[in-house]
Amino acid sequence: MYRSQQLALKYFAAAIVLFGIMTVAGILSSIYYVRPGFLLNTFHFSTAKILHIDTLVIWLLMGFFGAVYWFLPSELGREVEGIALAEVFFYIFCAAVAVVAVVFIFVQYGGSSEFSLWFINQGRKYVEAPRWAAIGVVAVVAVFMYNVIGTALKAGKITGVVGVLIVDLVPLFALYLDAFPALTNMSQDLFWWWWLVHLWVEATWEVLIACIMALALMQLLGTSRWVVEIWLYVEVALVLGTGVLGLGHHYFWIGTPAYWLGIGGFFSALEPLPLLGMVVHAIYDAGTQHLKTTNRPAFYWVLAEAFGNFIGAGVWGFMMTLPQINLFAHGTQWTVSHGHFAFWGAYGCGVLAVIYLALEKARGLGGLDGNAWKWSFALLNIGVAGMAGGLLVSGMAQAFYERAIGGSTLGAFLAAQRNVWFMDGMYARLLFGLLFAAGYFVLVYDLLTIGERHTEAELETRAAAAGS
Amino acid sequence: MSPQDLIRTSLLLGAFVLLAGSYGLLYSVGLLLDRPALLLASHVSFALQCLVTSAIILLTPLTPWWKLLIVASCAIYFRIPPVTWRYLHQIHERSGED
Amino acid sequence: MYTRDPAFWRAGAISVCLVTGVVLIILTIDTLAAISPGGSHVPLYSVINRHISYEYDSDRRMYVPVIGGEELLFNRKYTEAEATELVGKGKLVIQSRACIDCHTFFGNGAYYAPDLTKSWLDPVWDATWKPMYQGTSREDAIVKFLMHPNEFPVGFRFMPDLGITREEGEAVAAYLKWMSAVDANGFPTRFGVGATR
Repeated sequence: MYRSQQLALKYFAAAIVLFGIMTVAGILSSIYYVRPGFLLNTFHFSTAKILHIDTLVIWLLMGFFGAVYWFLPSELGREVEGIALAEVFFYIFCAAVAVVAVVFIFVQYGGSSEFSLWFINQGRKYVEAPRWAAIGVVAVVAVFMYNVIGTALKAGKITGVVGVLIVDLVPLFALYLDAFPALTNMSQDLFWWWWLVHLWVEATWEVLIACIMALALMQLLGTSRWVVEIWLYVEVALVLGTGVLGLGHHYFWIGTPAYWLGIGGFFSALEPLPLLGMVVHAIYDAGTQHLKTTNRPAFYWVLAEAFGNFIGAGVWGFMMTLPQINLFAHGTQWTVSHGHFAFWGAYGCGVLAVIYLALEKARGLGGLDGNAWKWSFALLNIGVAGMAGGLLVSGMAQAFYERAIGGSTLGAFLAAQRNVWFMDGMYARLLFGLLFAAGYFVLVYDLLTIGERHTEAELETRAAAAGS
Repeated sequence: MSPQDLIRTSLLLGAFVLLAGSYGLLYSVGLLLDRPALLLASHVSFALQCLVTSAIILLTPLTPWWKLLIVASCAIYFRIPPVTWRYLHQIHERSGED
Repeated sequence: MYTRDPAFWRAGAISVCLVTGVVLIILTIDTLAAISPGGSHVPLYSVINRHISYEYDSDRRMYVPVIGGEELLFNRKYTEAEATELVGKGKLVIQSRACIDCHTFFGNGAYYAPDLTKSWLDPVWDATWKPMYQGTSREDAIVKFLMHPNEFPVGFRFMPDLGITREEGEAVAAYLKWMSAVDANGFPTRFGVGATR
């Protein structure tokens, strides 16, 4: 195994740990909604939420790093350039995340000073980590870029997939620089913040996961490089063609000119179209290989990615994206519903697929199967679908009662929050969140033991792999 | 728009894309398994999507430009599965995999 | 067939990115002008010296902020520089306490607490909290609330005590007043006009 692949396994382990913290913080956050006054003045909802959304970003980012570190050496035929530096930075990354989390939990907030922004909490969503840590993230991403570009240069070749990856890393890196400014003007603050958030999760991250999926498909199904590259370019063209100006769907209500209502709404409405193409593609790939692939969990998580992306991002997104609807849906649990479903479908499933792929190779197996992965697959996906469903009911009730009827005052807000539909949705969300958490524990058990359990099937597989 | 229009319109829009998805799913699986029944089901799904499109035009307060966008999208959704499938088949064949 | 040539699709991807990217940059330049203080949608910070209301504009068919005559904040007329400093301090408070992780601003943030875009215009200040906190003005009530948020809870959703000082509270009140004067294309619609007060 290349050192880079060993590092990949470490990144995957760290990612799964953070996935667990994200889940616990999520359950915690949901309790505040069903128990008024829960932990008041002891542990703020905002702290639980910050832990939940920040670990979301970091676990996925670590998953992406792991995936690239896993595939890069075999893609380019040599060890990753600067691997020693990458190994050191992995530990720096983990340590920084731990320190930031401890400060969030035990210090929680500081006074209104630059010191607070540098060392405690920057108070901007997803990028709350204090500036010293943001510098750390910049450094980690810079090392990652050096690893990728340096390896390609040393190998003397840039494959199509690696080429797209390298070009994608430049805006990915540059956009993160918006994690630093503290602008007085909230309209300007949010304007640039959305460049970072949207052009990460609805542009550069989509290209990144597409590159990772391309590398995964070549390994999982033996798809030819030529086919995978064509599809990658098609996907990049369609996703960025709709996504770059689809950024406008975040510019409806932040104080920007009204032309964004038309532009953002139009491009955003087109965003589900490429996703349907991806569903067809997923079925085609499943079929041409006649489901013969021997890594069943990886294969099913790839399918979950295509469908989850279409439903969570496409269907759920389309329901709320037209400005006439969004005027009422904006800033409600409706958004939360879409966010949970979309992040899971677009990214969570993909990272899990790659982890299973890596484990198969790392444990020297000729395939992966079993029962535990099926349980975690069911629990996690049903959990997310159930949470999204519950939140949709709450969100629609909130849009209906607080915004459309109530005029969005505090009184309207409170009336909607205690509305029976709203509360039912919140209880449903918590219940399905617990199912999701159960799925997480089964997932951890499976990741630790799959291939190590000596069942008949696995012994046979190993014998077959050894013999071939 | 009224609160009731809000819920009705958003559900119709969600159904619109969901039916496009089920059309694509049934169509692809139908071709894959060579089952005419599934292909028929896929076209029923698309017919339902057209029905939903009509409902959006007749029953929602969206302005004409947005309704036109929905109609155009419906037409494009219809073409995506066959075009995508045919294209994938061609490039896989060309690469000598089939 | 050119559609089976990766180079065709690569060219397509590059072109699409370039074209949409350039359009985005052009629109960004125009938007930045509109959202700068004093631009078409965002007022100067000295708007905190004026009366602000929210009314339906039948030409634009949406609710828009209306900036009226003089209505001083904390009985003081701020110069542009003083207002900029005060509102800037308010933003620093908002960030240091991570308000956006419970509340929303222009609908962005967390959804556990109400949206604050038009909070300055919320009837609860004059009708409920000003008498309860014995505030001398709406802004004074806001400051007293921020300093002691649990003293007079009006519902079942409670704001924690974040150790906000008098000075910080005044800065936040100024921030809320300035923010309520931003033209957000009608969001949130019908604020304060709805059935529930």
